[in-house]
Formats: sequence, C-alpha cells, structure tokens
Amino acid sequence: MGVLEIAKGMGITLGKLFQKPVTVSYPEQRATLQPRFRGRHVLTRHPGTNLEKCIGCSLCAAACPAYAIYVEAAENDPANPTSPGERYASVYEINMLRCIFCGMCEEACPTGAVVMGNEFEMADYRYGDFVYAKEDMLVGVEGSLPQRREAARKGQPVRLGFKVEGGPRAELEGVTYPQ
Amino acid sequence: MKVTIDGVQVELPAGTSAIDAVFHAGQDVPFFCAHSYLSPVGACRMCLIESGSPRKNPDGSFVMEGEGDAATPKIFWFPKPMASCTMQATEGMHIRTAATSDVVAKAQAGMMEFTLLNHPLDCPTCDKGGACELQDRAFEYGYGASRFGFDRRHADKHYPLSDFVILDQERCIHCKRCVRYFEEVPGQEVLDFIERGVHTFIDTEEGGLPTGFQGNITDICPVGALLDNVARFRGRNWEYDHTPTTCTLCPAGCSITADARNGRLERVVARENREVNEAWICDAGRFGHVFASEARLTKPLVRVDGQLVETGWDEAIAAIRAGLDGLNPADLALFLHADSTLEEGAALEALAALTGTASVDHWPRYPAEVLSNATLNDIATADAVVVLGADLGEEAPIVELRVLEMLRGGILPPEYAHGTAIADLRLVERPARKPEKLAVIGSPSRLSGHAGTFVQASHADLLTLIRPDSEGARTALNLLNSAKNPVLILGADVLNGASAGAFATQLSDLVARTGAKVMAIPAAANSRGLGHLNLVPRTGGQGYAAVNHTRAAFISRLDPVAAGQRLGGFSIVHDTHLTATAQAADVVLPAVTGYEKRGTTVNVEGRLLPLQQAALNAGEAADLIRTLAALAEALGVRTRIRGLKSAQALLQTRLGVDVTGLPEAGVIRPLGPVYAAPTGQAHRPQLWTERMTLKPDPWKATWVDRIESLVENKWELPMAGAQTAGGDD
Repeated sequence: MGVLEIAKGMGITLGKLFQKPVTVSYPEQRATLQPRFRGRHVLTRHPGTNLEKCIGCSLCAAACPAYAIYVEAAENDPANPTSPGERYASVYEINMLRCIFCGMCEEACPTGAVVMGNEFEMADYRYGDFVYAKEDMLVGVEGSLPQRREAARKGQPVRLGFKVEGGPRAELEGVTYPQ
Repeated sequence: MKVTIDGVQVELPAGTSAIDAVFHAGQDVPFFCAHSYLSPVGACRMCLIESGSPRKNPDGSFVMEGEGDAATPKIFWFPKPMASCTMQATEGMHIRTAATSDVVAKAQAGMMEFTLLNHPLDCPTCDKGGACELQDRAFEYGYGASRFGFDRRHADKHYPLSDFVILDQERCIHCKRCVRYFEEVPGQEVLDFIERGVHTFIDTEEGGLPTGFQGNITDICPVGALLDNVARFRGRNWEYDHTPTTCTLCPAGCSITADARNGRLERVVARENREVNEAWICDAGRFGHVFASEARLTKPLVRVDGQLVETGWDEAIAAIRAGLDGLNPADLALFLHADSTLEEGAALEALAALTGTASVDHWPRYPAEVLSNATLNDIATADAVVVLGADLGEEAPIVELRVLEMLRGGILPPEYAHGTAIADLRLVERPARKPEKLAVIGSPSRLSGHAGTFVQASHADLLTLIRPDSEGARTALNLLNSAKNPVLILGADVLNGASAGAFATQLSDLVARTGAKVMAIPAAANSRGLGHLNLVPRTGGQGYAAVNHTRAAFISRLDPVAAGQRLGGFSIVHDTHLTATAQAADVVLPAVTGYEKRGTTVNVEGRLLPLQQAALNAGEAADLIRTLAALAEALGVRTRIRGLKSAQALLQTRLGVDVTGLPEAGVIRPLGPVYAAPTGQAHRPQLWTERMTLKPDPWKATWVDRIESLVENKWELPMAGAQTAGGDD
C-alpha cells in the first residue's frame, strides 16, 4: 500500500471526468432502449385493410401467467367488419398493474395482434386507470394513459421519454418511436 | 368371454364391441363417429385396431401353436387394421392398439391426416376450441404436421340451420353423428348428406331444423361444425365455470352443465344421466336460459309515493313490517312456484306453521294425488305406451324422447368400466320403428305423428280409456291389456280434471286390470316433491287462484297479474325479474333462478336430483329460504330455518330423506303421504315463455334471411360458387 496505488486510483477517477457520461438526464433527455425491450402492449392492424389483427380468441388471456388480460368476443358485422373473419374482440383489456411484461401473450397470439411495444411510462394515480382497453393500445395511439391526459391538458403532443436504437421491431407494424 | 387387449386379458359379456373391450381394459382408441346412444357406423375410420382370433380345426379343437404344455391357440390376425366400433369382440380375441402396434399407430396417424386435409385451421375463432375431439385426438394421434400443400376446401362458414344452430361447412368431418341423431333419436328425417367426396356437406330439408331437440347436435358434433348460436362467441371453453346441475324448466329433471362466465349464464349443455335424459336435453332447456342473465332484479324494491324504488334488505324488511302493521301474521298468504326446491318448500311449510296461516299454496299443481310409479327407463323398455291427454313436447319433452326410444326397441346401452358403452352393436342405423306399440289420445302433438293409434279428443279423461267409445280408444285399451309391460302416461288434460275420489278408483281399477305402470306428468319441475309437503290451502284458507281475496300475500316467483288476476291487499313479491305482478306489488324482493340455487328437486319419476349453484351475478338476490327468514323477522316470529343446512335437517325429519350428498344421477326414495286440494283453475303447460327467447342482433342473418337469399340466388346451394380457383382437386 503506497502512494503509487492511491495515485493510480485517483488517475482512473480523473480519467472518467473527461469521458462522455453514460447517464442521461431523463426525462428532459430521451433514454435509449433496445428494440427487444418489452413495454406496453400494442394491438396491431393489418396494413392494407386497416382491420384489427385481433380476433378475440382469448389465447393471450389463457397464456397470461398473471391473469392480467380479459377478452370478450363478438361476431363481426359482415358489412362493416372490425377484423377479418367472423370474430373480433369487443372488449380487450390488460391490467398493467398485474402484467409482468413477460411477453407470453405475444407468443401465444395466433395472428400477431398483441405485440409488446417499448413504452414504459405508465405511472398513474388510480388503480382503475391501469386497466388499458383496446382504444389505449391500438396501433396509432401514442403514449400511455397519463401521458395522453397530460398532453391533452397542456394542449401539446405526447412526448415519449425514450428512443429505440435502430427503430421498433418488425412485429410492431405501423408503430413509430423516436430514434 | 375372455379378450386380450395389448396383452391384458379381460372378462367381458358377449356382444361387446371391440372398442368397448379396448376402453374396458384401460387402453385408448381415438374415435369421432361412435356415440353411446347412436348406432355404430364406422364412418370416421379412426378407431383402427389390429385384431385376431383363434381358429378351430374341423374336429372342434383349436389350431394350436407351440409344443406340448406350452401350446396355445394360434391367433389368426386380420391382414389389415379393423374399425373397432363396428366389430364385435369374440371369445379368445386378441387386440392390439396404437400403444403396442406400429401398424395401428401409422394407420391412425394416416387417417388423422386425411381427416385434417380439408379441416380449416381456425381453432382460435372456433367455439369448440379447447373442448374439441378433433383437436385432442389430432394432438394425441396425429403426425403433428401437414403435408398437404394445396388449397383447402372452401365452403359457407356461417350457414344457419335454424335460429339456434349454425353450421360451418368447412369444419365438418362427415362423421354423420348429427344425421344419425335426427333419424334415430327424435325420429325426424330432416338432415342429410348432400353431394359426394370432399364436397359432401350436410343440409336440412326446407324449413330448417325442427324445434324440439335440435340443440343436441351441437353437443355431439366432434368438431366445431355445428354450434350453439345462443352461446356464439360468448367465451372459450376453458373460461367457463362449469356447474353440474339439474334443469328446472320441466318435471323431467335433465342433468345439465351450466356454463357461466363473469357472472352471466352463457351456455347450457347436456350431461349424461343414464336414468333420466341419457345424453339429450330439449331446446328449451338448452337455449332458453337467456332470462337468467338479462334484466335481473338485484336489489329489493319498495313502493314510495306510488313508485317502486331500489333499497336494501333492511329497509325492505322495515317496509314489510310497516305494511303488515295491524294485520295478524296469519293473514299473510304464502304462495310459491312449484319449481322451488324441496328445501324451500320445507322452509315455507315451517313458516306457515309458525304464523298459523291457512292460505298456503304452490302453483302450478293438479287438484288430486295421482298414482305414478313408472320410471323413464320403464317407458323406454316398455312394450306398449298409451299417452292420455298429454302434450309431452310442452309438459316434459324428454319423456317424449324416451317414448320414441321405446318405439325403436328400447335398447339401453350397457355399462362398462369406462362408463356407458361407446358402441352398442344392437343399435342399428335407420331402426325399424314399431308405431303400433304407441297410442296417443288427446290433441295432435309432435308425438301423435309417431303413434300407431291416434284418437283426437279435445278433452281426454280416463273414461275415454275405461269405456272406449271409438275404434281408436278400444285399440289403445287392447294395447294396455295385451302388453306385458305397458305404461300409461297421463298429462295435463286428464290431471286438471282429476278429483280425489272417483278418479283414483278408476285409475287403480284400470291399473289392476291391465297391469300398467302409470306416469302422471307433474305440472311443474318440483310439483311432485312439493306435493309431499303441506303446501296446499287449509280449511278456511285461500288458494293461489283466489290471490285477490287475500288481505296480504307473499308471492314467490309467480306472476298472477300476467295471467289476468288481480292482487288483493298488501303484496310482497319475490321474483327474479320485474314481472307484471312485481310492478303491482308493494315490496319486491330479488330472487334467484333455478341455475343458482343449491337444493333438491323431485322429477317426474319421484327421483331426488341435486341442484348446484352456478356462478351467476344476481346482486343481493336471495333464495326462498333466506327470504322467508327475512320475512319471519318482519313478521316478528322466530324461525329455525335460516339457511340450506337447517332446511335440509328439517327435510330429514319431515320426509325421512337425507338430501345431502345425493349422487349426481339422483335416487328414487319414498317421500310419504301427498297433500292435495282443489286448485280452482286449470293449468296449461307451456314450456317456452317469452323471456326465454334471445332477441337477435338486428344485422345477424336469421333463418328467414337465409331462405330469402336462397330465393334470390335461385336456390343455388352454398357449396357452389364458394370455391376458389386452384381449389381442392
């Protein structure tokens, strides 16, 4: 134990002072996420027809280990269908407090309708506000419930606090995140 | 008879089919077309097994294999796998299933591949998914991958056969269960295969499926081709809470499974009960459950300034106490519906004893006690049945099915270790019916079309039989006289007019002369059970027909106002819905339906059957036992009966039967003397009521729409035109 060792240690500390910091000053700056990050679910649509991919089969609810998903199905109006085929989800709800973001729902989905997105900023005040319905998760809805509420209050667009390195995954058809 | 299955030797009665031998030995074979109560036809070819039998020399000795003491009869194997459902097991037969034979495993996987060639991969949207025989067997016995690289068959996926049953023609695997069901069970030739090969589809004759027993085909369809339209897309099979219970819409007491999801009753399916309904239920029982989840009363209502307002039970009890102020507890008449459970009846009887009221009644019921000693299996195995004054389709539809079973020979499939025989080889396709064994006297009904003798009589009574004045009536009496095990079925026309004295004498004379067993169809689901409790007006009391003469009345799940009667004084109505009577009442208490009660009901044979509680959301609704406890509190009397357990203990002392832990199939027990009294009005049985029908979505195609589209398209059948280029062939 000598002066040399202390000087070595101080040298490392000094060296770090001149490096680019790895921390970001969130939320003013956007955090960088990897595309595989599992965040809030997105319900995707078929690109051409704009019909919902979800057919209300409830397999995501069956696969969910946290029992966070609730689906009610109904029959499509043939003249004005919501999804291709006979069946669509008339109610699709995920309780984000129960959800453990394991991605089993995405794996179980036979049509690729429910996909884990990258949004994670869902902190809110009331339990009831954590139950996300179809209109909170369909593709094109940007931001979580509290973010959209805040944006509406301020009259400004939703600002997501993250960017995705290389853009969102291919499965997230139609979803755009800041890069 | 000794049969060896996969090396395990089992002892079986002669006549056993090979498929039952396999299952009896604890082995498994996949099958789609065989069904316990239908004839085996070998249509699906899935139940393939390898089998072989010993052969005898001309001198009668067995062809032996081996030397000396080790010699055993040589087994001569069939050169190819055989369908086990249509093959009879014989003495000394050896059977190899897929568990021990690669040939069988390959043959079954190959058959599965053929079956799946044209089966669409829409399991996620199919209501059968999760409870599908094809899905399960494909998982267990299939290759696991498809080698078929071409387009599948395309056909109409939403083809209503009636307002209740939807056919998906793509999913059909042509097992013919539905076609055989209609031919063999209700005896209606309304459904058949059209075209050949992969183009085969099933369709009905003009007019769709006849209402009555059509819903059973949705139960027996091994795939999702025939589906229950009332439960369409209401939930997946694993999401339902399945409650095994008993149907209380008619006195037959069929075993059903009530499937609820999120507090709503979404589906009713038949449950096997060999003694009562075999595997069938009627359409009213299957599709008429809509009322249990629609517009239910969930809180008590009290009349304030002429308006009924929602309130709590405590306030309702206070309102009853205020309303009955100045009246004697004995002035409160107590009326209950006769589909209430035995426990509820016993609770009401106990409360009536406490208050001392003379005005107690249950409705619907008939005025006199009538001897009734036939069971439903007696009817099925009888050699002659005379139906007198009954429209069984309205009174107890399952009795009608059992009569039709009698006409086709009354063959009850035997029971093995695995349950009812899967393929009873005595059952044959398009069985010869013997209409001469059935005589119907009364108004024309569905059953009278099957009867060899039909006497049209607007008013049927026993005298029609005892002193026959027509050729038909004489034939019917001769039928009873000459048969060995005749059964006489008495319906509403006869029983409404039955009086205590003369009728009983006439009937016992007739029974003594002919040796017939009698089945009197009770007026409501539990009329027979409640008849053993003193729930009839006593001396000086008012019956239900005189409800407007009561000073105060408690009416449980009866609707006298809708029947044209008026309420008397202060009235407390206990009902599941805001009926016309409830709207006229002073206090309305919410009740539970027969699907969400625990208790015991007594069916047409006198069989005690258990009711279980399905998980339905009924708010603060209470069954009659707890409602009566609340009423007792309002009346200021102390009752011991405050719940199901105390009511069951009372039944034990009152009727001498232990109704706790009844087997699901029920038991017949003597229940003691019957209380009967004149009714003052006639009961007209009606199975379907308005509240049981579903209001369809306006845009959904109904049966009528389909006929119209067919007319527009010049009766083009749906298979044509639905095909796409580069199709199946």
